[in-house]
Amino acid sequence: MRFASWYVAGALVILGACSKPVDDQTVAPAPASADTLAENQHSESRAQALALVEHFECARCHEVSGAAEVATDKHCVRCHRQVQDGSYAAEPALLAKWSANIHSLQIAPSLAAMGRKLRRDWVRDQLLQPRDIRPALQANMPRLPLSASEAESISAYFVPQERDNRRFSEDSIGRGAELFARYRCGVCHAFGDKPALPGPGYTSPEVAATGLATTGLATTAPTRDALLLAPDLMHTRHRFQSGALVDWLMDPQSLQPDTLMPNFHLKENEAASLAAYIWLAPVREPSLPTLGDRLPVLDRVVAWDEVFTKVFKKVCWHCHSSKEFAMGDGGPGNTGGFGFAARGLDLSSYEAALSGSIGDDGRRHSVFAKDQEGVPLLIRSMLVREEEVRGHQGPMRGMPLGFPPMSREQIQLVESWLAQGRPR
Amino acid sequence: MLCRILLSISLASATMVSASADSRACGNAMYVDGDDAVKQVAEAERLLALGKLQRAEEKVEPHTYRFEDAGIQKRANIVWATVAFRRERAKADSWPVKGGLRQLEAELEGDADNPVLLARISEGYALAPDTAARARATLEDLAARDVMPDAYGYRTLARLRFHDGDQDAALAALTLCKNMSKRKKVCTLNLKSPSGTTETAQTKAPSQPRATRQRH
Repeated sequence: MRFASWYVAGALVILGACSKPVDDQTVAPAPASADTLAENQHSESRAQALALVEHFECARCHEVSGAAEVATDKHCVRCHRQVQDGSYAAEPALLAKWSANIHSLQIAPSLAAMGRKLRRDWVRDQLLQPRDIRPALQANMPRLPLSASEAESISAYFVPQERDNRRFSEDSIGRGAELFARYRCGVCHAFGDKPALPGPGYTSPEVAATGLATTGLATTAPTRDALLLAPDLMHTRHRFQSGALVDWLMDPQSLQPDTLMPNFHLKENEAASLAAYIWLAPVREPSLPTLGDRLPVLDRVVAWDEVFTKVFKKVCWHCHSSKEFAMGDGGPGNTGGFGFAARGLDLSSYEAALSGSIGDDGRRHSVFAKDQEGVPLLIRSMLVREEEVRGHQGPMRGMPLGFPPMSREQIQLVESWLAQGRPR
Repeated sequence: MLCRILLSISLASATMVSASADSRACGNAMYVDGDDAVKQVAEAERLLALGKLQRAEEKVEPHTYRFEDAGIQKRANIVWATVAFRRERAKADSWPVKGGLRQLEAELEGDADNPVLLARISEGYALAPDTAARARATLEDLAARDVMPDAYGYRTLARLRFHDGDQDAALAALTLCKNMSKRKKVCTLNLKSPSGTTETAQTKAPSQPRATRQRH
């Protein structure tokens, strides 16, 4: 069934490409070699790739065709949504309390149709060196412990064929810019250093709906989910199969039936111009706020309760909690998950936090041990996260994994607690 | 015979505190709020840390409560045993201490490098001369790896070092104990020195941390 759906998808892609009139901007699609097709369709390699998808637990956040169903209690997004919409089985008062604490992982992009539009090498690179491409989403793709060959295999699974066969004309950029403004693409999408109209992190559907309603062009107003998922269009030229972009702009649902991108019913020449603007217009990377100096350790006493409430409980313990208190699953940072080995790090109690984590030698080691520069490892991991979001991804993984860095005040608090001898 | 009957009755009437047994991710954050068994054991741990031994014990008393989930029962066992070790007049040959040690030794079989288990079992071993050396070796290892889970571990280590004549090392352990403990009296020991005189071992209260200069 799964293979059948890929064949159908592949056939549709090929049919779509062949049925279009070839204009002077379209290069005839390079025929896929028999070897490549054979490799993509080879059931063993696809089964191996699917096993990797399941090992790295892509389906805990994303909808993934063919992957084994993940139980709600292990599915980050579904669980959060059920808590928020009140359908999770718990007391209403608890749901209200938890709901107020949920700020992330309420939606994640579906991976079901990515093969029809995204480039395989971009998917591979995104797996190995994730970039934050969705400014309004708080969480972004975490850096999983993938090897290059594993990333290659997974990207080939998701993108079995590509339509990278279209070239865009610089002559169309001006017309494309007009269309970009007319259709209010910038209401939802950032474009490099031009943020989406609601602003980074601001996701009021009312504002966006008002913005689009004045145009009367979209069939549906974007929802809050659509605003959260809208990627920065700066990445399109690296992300998209050039041959799929015009089709996407003309009829997004034809490539991805469940997409939240509105259908503006663009004519092909409009879509081509808009695509040319998105693909070719000069664009600058958005600037990140400067980090400034690290804050000094605090003069006042910082005890466990404060560090726990403001840092460990607020951010860390959802992944680093207690397997004894959670029926055997202490979160991926404790009992393992997303391809990571079980490290046993539990930040849900004082004694557990001081008990360290399991090293490669199978023994527990302090997470407060100092590195060569005298910085405790826990603090270092927080500082590394700051570097990761700036594109510097070294061997150490920054924490919190796949989330915005800790604030300087949070780091200061933990550092002060450590400097004071970890008072209870 | 009468004891057996009474024990059977008490076990049969023990309250089963249960929680659903399916594996859950990230559930800790929710269970602490929503699950009675988790809340009860968490409260026992809190009371234990505050030194309220009797109240902590009441929350996990094995003849009254049995917890359906093995992990929660394990935490309850640790609390129950620790209460026995920390009683003011705890004796190594008393049945609560011996029972607590047996319980924790059994827990260690599947979790041999758990610092909380190791530190607590060392508190029990430290009560008897023939197991004190084993307790010290374990606590020295935890200290060397910097995974001592609480102030009581350093207090026990200080006592053992003092008995072995390592006064400076004992005071160093007491300093770490004081840094960590909310209750400073935990880290003041009335000890018999190796020469036989009774001394009060304590360190100066840790100085207030000073602000460092802004980093550049």
